Amino acid sequence: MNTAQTNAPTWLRRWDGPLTADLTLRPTDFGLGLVPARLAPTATTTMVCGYCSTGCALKIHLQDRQAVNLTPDPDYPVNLGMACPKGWEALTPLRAPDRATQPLLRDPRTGRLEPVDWDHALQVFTLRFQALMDQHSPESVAFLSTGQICTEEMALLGALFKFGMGALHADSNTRQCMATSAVAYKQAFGFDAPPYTYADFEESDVLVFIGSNLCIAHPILWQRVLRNPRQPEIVVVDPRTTETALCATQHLPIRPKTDLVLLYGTAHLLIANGWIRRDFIEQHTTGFDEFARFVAPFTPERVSRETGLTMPQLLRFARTIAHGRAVSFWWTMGVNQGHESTRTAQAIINLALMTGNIGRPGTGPNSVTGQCNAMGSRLFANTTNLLGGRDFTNPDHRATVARILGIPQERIPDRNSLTYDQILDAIDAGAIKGLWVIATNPFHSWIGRDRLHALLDKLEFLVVQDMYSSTDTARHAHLILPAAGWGEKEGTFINSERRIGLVKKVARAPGQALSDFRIFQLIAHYWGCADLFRAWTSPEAVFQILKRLSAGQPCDFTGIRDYQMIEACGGIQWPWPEHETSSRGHAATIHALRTSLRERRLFADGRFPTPDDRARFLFEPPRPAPDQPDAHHPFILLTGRGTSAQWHTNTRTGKSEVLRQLYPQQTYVEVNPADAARLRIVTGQTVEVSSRRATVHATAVVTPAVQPGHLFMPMHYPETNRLTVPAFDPHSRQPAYKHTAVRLRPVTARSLSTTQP
Amino acid sequence: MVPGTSILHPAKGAAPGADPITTALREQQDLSAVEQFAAWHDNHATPGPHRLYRNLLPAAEPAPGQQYAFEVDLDKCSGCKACVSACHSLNGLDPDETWRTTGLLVSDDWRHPFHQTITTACHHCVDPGCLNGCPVLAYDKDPITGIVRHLDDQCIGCQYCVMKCPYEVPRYSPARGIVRKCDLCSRRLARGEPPACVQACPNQAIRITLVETAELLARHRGATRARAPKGSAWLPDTPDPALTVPTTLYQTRRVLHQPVRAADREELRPQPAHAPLVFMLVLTQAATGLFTFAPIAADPSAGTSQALPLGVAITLLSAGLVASFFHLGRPTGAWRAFLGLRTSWLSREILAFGLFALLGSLAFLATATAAPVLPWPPAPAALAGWVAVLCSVMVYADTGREPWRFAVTAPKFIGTAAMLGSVLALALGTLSGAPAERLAGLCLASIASGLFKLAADHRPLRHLHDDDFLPLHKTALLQADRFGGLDRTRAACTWLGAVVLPAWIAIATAGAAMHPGLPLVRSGALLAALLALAGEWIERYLFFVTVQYRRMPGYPAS
Repeated sequence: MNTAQTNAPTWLRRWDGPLTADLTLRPTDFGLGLVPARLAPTATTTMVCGYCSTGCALKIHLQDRQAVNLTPDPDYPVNLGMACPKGWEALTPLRAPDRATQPLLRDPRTGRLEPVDWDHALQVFTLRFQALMDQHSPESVAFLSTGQICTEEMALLGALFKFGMGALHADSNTRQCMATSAVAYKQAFGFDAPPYTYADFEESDVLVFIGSNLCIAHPILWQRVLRNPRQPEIVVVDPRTTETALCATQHLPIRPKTDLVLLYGTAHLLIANGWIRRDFIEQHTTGFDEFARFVAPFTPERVSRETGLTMPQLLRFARTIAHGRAVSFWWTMGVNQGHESTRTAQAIINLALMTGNIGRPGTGPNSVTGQCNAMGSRLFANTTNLLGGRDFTNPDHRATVARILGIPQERIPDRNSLTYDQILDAIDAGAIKGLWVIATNPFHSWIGRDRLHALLDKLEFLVVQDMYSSTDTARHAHLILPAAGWGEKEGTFINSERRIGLVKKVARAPGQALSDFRIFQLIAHYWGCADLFRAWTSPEAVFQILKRLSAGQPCDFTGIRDYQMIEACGGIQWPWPEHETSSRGHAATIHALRTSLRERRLFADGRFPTPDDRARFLFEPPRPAPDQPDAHHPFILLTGRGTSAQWHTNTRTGKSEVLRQLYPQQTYVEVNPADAARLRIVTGQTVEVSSRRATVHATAVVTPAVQPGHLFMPMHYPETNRLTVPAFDPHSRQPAYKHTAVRLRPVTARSLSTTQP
Repeated sequence: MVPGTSILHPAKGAAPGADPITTALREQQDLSAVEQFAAWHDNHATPGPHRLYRNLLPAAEPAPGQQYAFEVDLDKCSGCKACVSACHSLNGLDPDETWRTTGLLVSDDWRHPFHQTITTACHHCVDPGCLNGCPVLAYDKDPITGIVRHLDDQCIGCQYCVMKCPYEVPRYSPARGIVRKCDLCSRRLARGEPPACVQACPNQAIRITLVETAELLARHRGATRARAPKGSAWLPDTPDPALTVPTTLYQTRRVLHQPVRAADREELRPQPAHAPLVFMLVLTQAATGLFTFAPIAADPSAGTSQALPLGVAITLLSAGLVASFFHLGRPTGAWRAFLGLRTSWLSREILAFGLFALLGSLAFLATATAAPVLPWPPAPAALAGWVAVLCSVMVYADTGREPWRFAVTAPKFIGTAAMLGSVLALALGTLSGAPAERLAGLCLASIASGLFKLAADHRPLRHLHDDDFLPLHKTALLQADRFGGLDRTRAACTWLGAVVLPAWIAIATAGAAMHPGLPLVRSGALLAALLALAGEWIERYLFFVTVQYRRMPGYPAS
């Protein structure tokens, strides 16, 4: 290869040897090209990533059935051979040294967590929870679960807890993430149904992103935007100049939490200029006239004054929507985590409805979900909705579920559960005394999280079921149940575009860790209600039950035969009812789902799953955000995702040394250069950020990405949610993480901005 | 079953046969299910991933005068950093090893908010600093592809390339004892497969292109360069591309609103102390000085033997050279250090020290055996020592790090040699009963060199109030603030050891007021020598830990 190689004798200049061999690459099959020789796979299998809702497929490289490496799957319709750093590093957190490997029980005498065997742990679990329910009421226990476990596991948990154990109150961290979208869709469309498919990113000529930093939060979806051949107009509504805002053709840097005013003002302009689709409105919606009257006072002058945008900016935005042939609206946590988030999401839906931007390629009011299985949770967690997107308070729904599951109908509660925040209130009030936390970390993530510490004394029994015994929450547990993680178990996830994808067991769980599914089965057994779940023998058996539960619902996927069919098709979007498969035959169905029907969207016929088939215009007067700044707390603190290498509370992403190099290790706060100059702050300096609830220290990062008067702190650092204000959207009960009044002052001198060597 | 009745004997009745926990634990460990799916994939082997990326590779091999280079389209980079992870996974690197890194450029102007992720790996420079600095030729620049490859099995782990590369590309692994770096996935390229980072970018922001090396040389080092503001010819707030002529092309159609700076520019990063190098430099420089001043401390014609000062000098030199071996990750290959002589100041330094040790040993043997058959004076050894000290200066000056530039490093190293040489000679002179007038001369020499050294060490602090957070300012901040206590201790040691105590000795012994052989004088001289040595140890530690340099943009708060 190299002529220089021959110049010096090899005893003098060594071109090869054991150290060089360490980096040898080897060609392989499986369409992988060169891979590290020592990690060369003997087989591969594809599974869906366990971080975000994009739902990328990762091709797992196997040696002796065990995962040794991975590459993104080039044939999967979602990610087209790409993954973000979290995906590339997805296997690393499984090998972390602080995995929970055996049940741990807190010894009341020493106060320490001591190892116990599963039998003992499950007996304690059952005795303690049963004692609480006997002594107080079935409402004295609750669980807080997650959008990170498989749909089959969620369903078993929800069914076990409510139908088997006879408890009522259950919610999950999807409350922090997607509750708003779920409620907004359900009220407007009649069912929680994000209507889009990712191909819509490529087929729009106008893309409007509201409270979404897609580049960082969903980097693989941004890939789809860049594949759009139409040179689309990209509008980003965000107080921060995010990576996505920098890619926009129009960035609308509104004042924090004035998005609802902007959206009503835009509706006003569209109506005032006649830029609406009268025919679509009349045929497929109700409530437009009231809405038109409602937005009349949202004049450009008022909206400009309240949002901080100029009138030409407002007019250009409205004109862009009006003139777009296919306009799609995308929102994420900037909308969902607000004090009036449901109405904000519905204001977006209203814009799509009034301009007829729904049901066609490249359109839609589209919520980009957060967690890998938030969508599974929304259908089957059995917390807010009865299994299959049903209503606990509806006797017909209860009867249907009881019939499908073969259980007595009276086992199904006829009341709704408390929501996450209400469960915490009930703990505070002494009504709930036992809490079971599954794969989530509220002691880091909950809004105004210091409150959790105050509740600890009131909890008689806190069980944490997690992959790690080291999370902020697990450290406070009375009982820790060690769980297998993604990659150590089977099941399905549902991604943002409603695509059901497979998760597989490609690694052995450490020690005695068990999959959440098995833990729930064992609890059913110890509780004495295993009979109810006789048919729930395996995740795939539960998948068959879930199919039956979906029958006749808008999410009907009875046409999916089994896991093998999902595998063969590269994931399958709901709905896919039985007649779609039976009319084509199995082989032709697989072919169709791999080709022409690979990307499907909803509502092409303009019919919505409401009683009258019409979508609803829903609206409400905007309210000022709680926790307004004043002289003592002059800054507005925004929170959100820091980098694409961090996931939520960093429980998993913090375990990878590669990912740790991709984000700041110190808690940091972004400050505008103008404010920094005024307060004599430079990057790297330690500063104090105080809200009306807490004071934390952080490292200053001076950047014009935040406006003067605003600060930004990523949610991945435990300090951040000590500051945030516990405020909630009244409809979705989702916490409003995006608007907290704070004060900022330097702690150390300018010259001490030192990082460790 | 009535809830609660089965708790104490859960296995009975509920699941006849196997204990459910045992079953669950066994099934949890069973991985056979994955095979039914894996088989499906085996039977449908698809072509390699490169089918997706043909347009990200040049159509032809490099012609003469051309080489391969990374081309980064900054407008497409959304900051996801998949390139870093993919490089790590596809090259099978160690858990904490990354060959590609990312950082951030930000604008200072809040009216024009701007920030840009910068992805960077080896720039496969036209004139690679790593290659030029390597004493054992463990780097090779391929004459056809221009790829700068590191020969892992040739590397001795001296880490000089880490200092020589302005882009912090070679990463040292203490476990392996060598550095490793990006090779532009040369084996993938040879098969028409794109490098890992190119394959992994969701936005196709990284590609491989062909560049004209003469054009890059002209751009970064030629006459036209002077017209462009420093650094802007390549990427703002990064190392001067004239140092090594990096080949990576960063493209953008955006107007970068000035001033644009690295997001972590203000952060002070203490650097590794390199304890073996601290020992090596201080001791070899002390030895050089002592060989120089030994003839004053002990004059054979005056009846005192040079054996003591030369013995001490050769001991110091040996100790320094032995210490240097502890710096090497793989010292057994160090004998190859002459290979880099043509371009590496480290090779030259090593050779100069070898010569110094040889001549010094001869001089010592000549005096110790008192054999006129070997009339070898210390002067040639001293001369070799000074050449070696100058080579040491060049080792650091040649890194292009501003705080280590020749005008700063040369006075420091020369001052150390002169000052330690004179103070040690003074101490040894009082021990061996040198005449008062000679001691007075040594006192004057140590006071003069001490003051010179104090001035040289104070010089970096002139930049303390620059307030521009450029390397000289940041180095001064570290020296004055973070390491201020140590630095003041250093100054106190030097003042006492090289100025105050020698002045006292000179005054005390002047006009035979006090005999130079008195224990008080001897103790004072010994104390002076120890204080001066301690001060130099601290100074050299600070020399390494405080050095700040222009680097590729990183992340603040990291």
